[in-house]
Amino acid sequence: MKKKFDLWVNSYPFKKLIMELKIAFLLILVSVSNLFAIPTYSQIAKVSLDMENKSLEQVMDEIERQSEFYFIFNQKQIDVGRIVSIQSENQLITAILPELFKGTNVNYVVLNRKILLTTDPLENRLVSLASEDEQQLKRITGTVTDKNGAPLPGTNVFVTGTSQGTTTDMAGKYSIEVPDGARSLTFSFVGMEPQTVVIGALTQINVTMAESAFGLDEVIVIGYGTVKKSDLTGSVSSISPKSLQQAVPFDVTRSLQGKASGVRVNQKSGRPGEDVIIRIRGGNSLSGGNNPLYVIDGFPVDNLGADFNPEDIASIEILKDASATAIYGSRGAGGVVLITTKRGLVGKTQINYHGSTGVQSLRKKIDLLGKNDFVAMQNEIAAKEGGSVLTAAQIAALPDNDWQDLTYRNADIQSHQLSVSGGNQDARFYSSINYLNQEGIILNSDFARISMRVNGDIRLNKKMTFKANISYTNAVNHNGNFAADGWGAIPFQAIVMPPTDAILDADGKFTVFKGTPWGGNNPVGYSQLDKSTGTLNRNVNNMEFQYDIIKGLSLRINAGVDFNNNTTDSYSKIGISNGGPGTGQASKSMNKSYSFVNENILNYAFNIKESHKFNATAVMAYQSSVWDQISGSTSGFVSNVFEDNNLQSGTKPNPPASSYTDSRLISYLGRFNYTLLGKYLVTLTGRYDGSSKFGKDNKYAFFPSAAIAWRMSEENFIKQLGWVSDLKLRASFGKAGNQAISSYQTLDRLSTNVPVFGTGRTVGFVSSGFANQSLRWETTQQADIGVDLSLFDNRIRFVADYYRKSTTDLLYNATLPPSSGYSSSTRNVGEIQNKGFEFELSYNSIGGPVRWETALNMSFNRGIVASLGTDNNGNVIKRIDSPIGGGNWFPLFLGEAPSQLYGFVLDGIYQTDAEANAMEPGKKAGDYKVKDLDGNGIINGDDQKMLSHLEPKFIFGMNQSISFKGFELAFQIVGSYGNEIVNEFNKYYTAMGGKWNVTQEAWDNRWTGPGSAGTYAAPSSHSTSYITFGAPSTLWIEPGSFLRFKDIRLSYSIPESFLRKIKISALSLYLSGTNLITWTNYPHYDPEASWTSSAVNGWDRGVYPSMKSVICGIQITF
Amino acid sequence: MALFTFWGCEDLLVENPKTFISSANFYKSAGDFEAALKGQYVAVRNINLQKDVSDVFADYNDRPESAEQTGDFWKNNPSSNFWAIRYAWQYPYSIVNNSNLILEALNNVDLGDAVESKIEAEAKFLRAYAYFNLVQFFGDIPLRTSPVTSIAETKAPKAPQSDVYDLIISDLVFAESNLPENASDVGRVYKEVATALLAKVYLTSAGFPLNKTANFALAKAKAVEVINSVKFSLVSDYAGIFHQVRTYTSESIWEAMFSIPAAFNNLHVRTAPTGSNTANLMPTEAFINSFPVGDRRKEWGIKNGYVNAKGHTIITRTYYNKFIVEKFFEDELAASSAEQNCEYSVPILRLAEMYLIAAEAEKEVNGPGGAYQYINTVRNRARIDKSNPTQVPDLSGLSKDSFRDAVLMERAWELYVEGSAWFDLKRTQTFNKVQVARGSSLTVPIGLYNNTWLIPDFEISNNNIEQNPSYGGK
Repeated sequence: MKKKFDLWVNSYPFKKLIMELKIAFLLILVSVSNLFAIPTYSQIAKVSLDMENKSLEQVMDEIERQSEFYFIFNQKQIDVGRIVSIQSENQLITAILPELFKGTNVNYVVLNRKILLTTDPLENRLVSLASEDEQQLKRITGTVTDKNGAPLPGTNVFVTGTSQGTTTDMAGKYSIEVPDGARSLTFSFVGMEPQTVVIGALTQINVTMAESAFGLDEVIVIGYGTVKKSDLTGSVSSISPKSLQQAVPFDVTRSLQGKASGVRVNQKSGRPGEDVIIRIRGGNSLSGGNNPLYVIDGFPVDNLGADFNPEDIASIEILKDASATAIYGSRGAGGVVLITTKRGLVGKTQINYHGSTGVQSLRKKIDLLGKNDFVAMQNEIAAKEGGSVLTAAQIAALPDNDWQDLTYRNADIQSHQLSVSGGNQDARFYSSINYLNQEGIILNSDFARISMRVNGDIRLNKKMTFKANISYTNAVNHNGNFAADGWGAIPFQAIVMPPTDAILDADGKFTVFKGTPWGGNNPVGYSQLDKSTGTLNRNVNNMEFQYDIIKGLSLRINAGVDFNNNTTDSYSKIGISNGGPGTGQASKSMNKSYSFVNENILNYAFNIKESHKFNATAVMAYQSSVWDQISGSTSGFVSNVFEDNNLQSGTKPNPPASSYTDSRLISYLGRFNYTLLGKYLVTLTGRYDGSSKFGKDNKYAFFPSAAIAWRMSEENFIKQLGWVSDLKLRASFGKAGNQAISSYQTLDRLSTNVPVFGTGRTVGFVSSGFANQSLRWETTQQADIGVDLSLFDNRIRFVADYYRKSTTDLLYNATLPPSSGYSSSTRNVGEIQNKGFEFELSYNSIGGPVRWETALNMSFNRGIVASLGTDNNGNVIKRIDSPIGGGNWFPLFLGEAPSQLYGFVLDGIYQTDAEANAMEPGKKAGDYKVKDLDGNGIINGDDQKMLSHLEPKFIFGMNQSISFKGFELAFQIVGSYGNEIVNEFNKYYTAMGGKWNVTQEAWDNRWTGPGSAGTYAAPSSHSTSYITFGAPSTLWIEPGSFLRFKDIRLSYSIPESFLRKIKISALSLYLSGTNLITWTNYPHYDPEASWTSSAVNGWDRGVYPSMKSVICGIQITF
Repeated sequence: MALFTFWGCEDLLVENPKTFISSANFYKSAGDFEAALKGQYVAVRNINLQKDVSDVFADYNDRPESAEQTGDFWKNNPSSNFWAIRYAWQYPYSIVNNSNLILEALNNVDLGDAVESKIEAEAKFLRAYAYFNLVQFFGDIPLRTSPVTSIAETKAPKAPQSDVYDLIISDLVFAESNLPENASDVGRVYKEVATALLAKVYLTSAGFPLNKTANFALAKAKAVEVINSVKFSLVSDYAGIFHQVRTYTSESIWEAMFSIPAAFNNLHVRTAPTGSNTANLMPTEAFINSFPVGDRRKEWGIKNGYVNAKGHTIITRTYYNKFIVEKFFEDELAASSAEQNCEYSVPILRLAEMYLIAAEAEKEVNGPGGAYQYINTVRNRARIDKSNPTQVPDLSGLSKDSFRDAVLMERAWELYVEGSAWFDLKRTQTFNKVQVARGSSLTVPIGLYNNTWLIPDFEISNNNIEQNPSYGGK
């Protein structure tokens, strides 16, 4: 059965492009399959011929008879009547063909069973060949409408069970070619109940779609596969594209906030490009490995932040319980965020544009003293302490600067996303380009991102598919000095600079903050003089080949790389004061991180009768990571021209530095699902992980989990009720691991240092650690029980979970007796427990002109330090210090919540000098009274206790959307209740020492004399002394509860009837606002603040303040 | 598939670091040992940057401006988590462990006796120097003579301080006879450094708490050995001893060296910070007034304010000048920048102290008669006008007790801010001077507990040893 093929007549340039792409993939595949050593048919099939003077046609027939080969050619090109002679004994076809066409102009190519003959240059022919299908096609057409009869453009129409499909056009019409064997078509549209229609003999199928609330047939992405929502046994929160779009999505991690229960997102600061703190069901780990694992289209990446373009996201799933996360055993302990990006759909090519622009400004200004009050404060101190009081004339000559106004500006933001997607039944693609430019409200703190993505899907034949996801990001972050208190940190300086300080001194230089020893230039100067730019170039590329071996059994092979190239350019201009030498300071550092992942996944799904359904997955995975850095710095410049581009021009070079770290992970894992009668579900998973970071005998660990679920709604006694759409009870238990420590911790180490002798610096060696082969995996065990309930045709949906987690063998850099010569070593110490309750409740009105959707989620989590292990002597350790970066003030106490502020309790104000001196020598009337907690009559380090409660009693998020005709009003409320924030700023702006500015509130409520009702210590030059100023105290504790309208958005979609005339598929306009309304008693800039250099969640050291913004945008689909 | 079996390969999970060396690949050649010995001098440098902290406590120093914990220290109310206490424990013990690593590794190589004994001598000297610092501050302490190679070995009991002194002395005696005559690098130790340190160790062990008075004679002998060495002579102008960058003066025996930007001397800002920086070390009025007439050590060494060439007042307080870089004041370098730019060397042992040790020891052994020559040599050098005997006049005719007071006063004038103050108060049991000077400013009165610093919290929580007596005695 020779097949004649038509030369390709539909020469749309675009379609051609697709086909060429396809060929490229095909060739890659051919080489890939060679790599994997799967022999193709042409490599094994042998043919024997003994034909003398036969026509070419006869020879070809004989070959086709003996083998499964078949020839494809154009009869106009190939002379099949040509007489040939050929003899071969068990030869490969590749040996026969050269003989057969020797001396002719016929080109040929063998692709598995197909042999293509042509006289054209080969490339063009290959194109058509690849699209060749062995099946007869049949064309089906129809119209899709909603129940009011209005056409539904954009409805997906698929051959059931395949990726072969199209979408409806403006008029709701579609046309699809289906293969002979196709039994039915499936129609789906967001927000509508999907429908499946049997084809039979029909050539026209018209469908009316009905609205749905939450489809139970919705497919949920889980680790290494997908599952129907109804069959899910674990605790998984899904975030739909619709709710992701609700806010203008600039940053994917921020957009997770308030969308799912059990997920706490803290923004840390308002700096553009800042990453967030995400904790899924509380923090488990001390080593800082508390961030969830991010998996993008099946590809695990180590970190994710503002560099990822959120507009490419189709959906997000968050895996929370052990059953769900154990499949990512080695790194699932902090939860897993699965991100699925958009893919092309069959049908007309879609072009989407989304553009937005807006303005951002300081969300809240802090009420500080103006010149008059500030001078009054200074004079009050001077009068009391015998200093020189400023005269009216002197005062008049002083400036009156509002440093907040001088520092913060209105900042623009704009974002553009253009995507093109489409494809046919064999090849589909999605491509996008995104540009974001977000200015900061402080000069030189801008963030700009360009990202591109191409996602391609190729169906090679009935059994093989190939996918490629290629993304690139360039993110440039102008990141000045915003972090903490001092050294010129701009948000800090903007508060503490006295209003009476000028911007420039007499020499025309920027003034310096003189209030602390470590002060730096004023914020105006600093934001102009200091330059620090981080540039990230990131490629996340992965390819996936799937082979459906037999029905139900498939093999998937993934390979991908995450390549990051980071550059940090810093330059502090000559004369700037930031703790450095002030002679111009330049540094440049570059690092590369490279992570390679390969996963081989075998999946087998089969049924025994209808009542027993099985699904088994086996995976073998390998990951390697390399981190490589080089940096150099210089000071002592004579000119600002070079910045950091000519380090050799500085007169005081530092030694160059480089470093290199690598690690590898090998994993074997499996999952087994069993469903009985569609009601009783069991999932078992196990993952066996080996990490290079652990000791010789502790490299591998096994992470099992089990889950059961009972779909009660499938039982007759529930079905009879009629109003219960779904009711499922779930329970799970399992383990997950954490290896978030640095490499090489098990080895003994000698490191270099820099001794100095008469000839200058030289190099020496010292021991920096002894071998610790006992280092092993940190393990989190979690038990979860949950219920899923949907009522009234899924209009109301309720999900609740209760969980208990226990993390043992915490990886922690534990202190050693320093007399050993070492101060600490990484060890497995102690246990942290988290338990909590969380629920999601949503309602969706179906039908009627007004559509209302509302979703509420609440999460209650309690973390506790259950054990800190025992010390060298076998004694129970009750406290350990500074487990995390910058956390010296936040020790861990046995039996208490982790990482709380430890310090003194202030107990009012001393009313007389005698009273003060008796208890705390050196203190005076008007100073804070420190509580003598141990009652021994002496105030010292023993009078400290745990002061704070940083974990909220609960957090919540609420998402609302009301739509009427083309209008939609959507808003999101987020909040937390019952938490405190450590506002370290109180030590500055309530300490009235006359050196720095303070809040109006502190000034107005100062202690003024014996019997005064003032609650703040009296103004005094020694209010900067140790106990008041330096040591943590209850003065720093502030309420942190808040309720915030995170986003509000009003949008209008232009009626389709109008758009049709201008050939636009969809067009909507919107206006949105972020952070416009917040209720909180927290006095500083923002209750969501947390110092960026520490993992302590809720420690505000004066971070970049948050912004509010108003943005308008347009979305067009062609 | 091939790939599957490939991954079974366990080698993939074996770490092969590229940025550090494992001890298994080190301590092989003389060059390795040389590098390991040199590496110890970073801790030596760090120990000597802590000198200001023990000096804060001295009776001649005023309340530190610093808001941080030196204030509590000055008020005699320290906490065991005070950073300076941690460092005073940790840096020397790092030297102890590294020296022990070197000494043990030396057993496994054959580099020839001459090379090996030189390595052994330097390692033992450094270990002795570390233990000498530790034993003076903390009394009975863990005494480790072998390296720590596992968590199990990190625990060690306290040893009596007499045992510690025995090890120090035997290490130094070995070092003295095996160190080279001249160090290969300026800043590294050589024969006379061991001799000089022995003098100081003998003097200290002759006082409280060991009270081995027989050691006074040994102290004198060693000090005189250094004095008589042709290698050293007093710098004629006191000012010439200081403000040196990576060079020795004729008086230097051993100094810690610095090189910006990686290694800087922060004593500049600890003694006279500019602008808004806070000072740890400020002389009391009583101390300033105590100097004899015409004393260069006061006139050059203690300054009252600074006005630079532009006429700008840079400093208004009284400050110690020993580590001050006046160029910073002329350039009006920002307060926070000054810290990182000072690279003046810090004396560890210098000849003048040998004279004072000889004077003190000779007085204890034979009475003041033969001791005047030593103390007066130091005093004569301090004269602004060398030809004017009324300036810093020669001492004579003192009783034994007055002579002791005179030597201690002389040490304060000569060696202030060089880290000897607390040790001198302890070995001579004169802590009461602090009580007298400070009175009610002390949160906790002087008591027996003052004889030791508190052992740092991390040691107590990880090692089964008893804390030293708590301040206040409660």
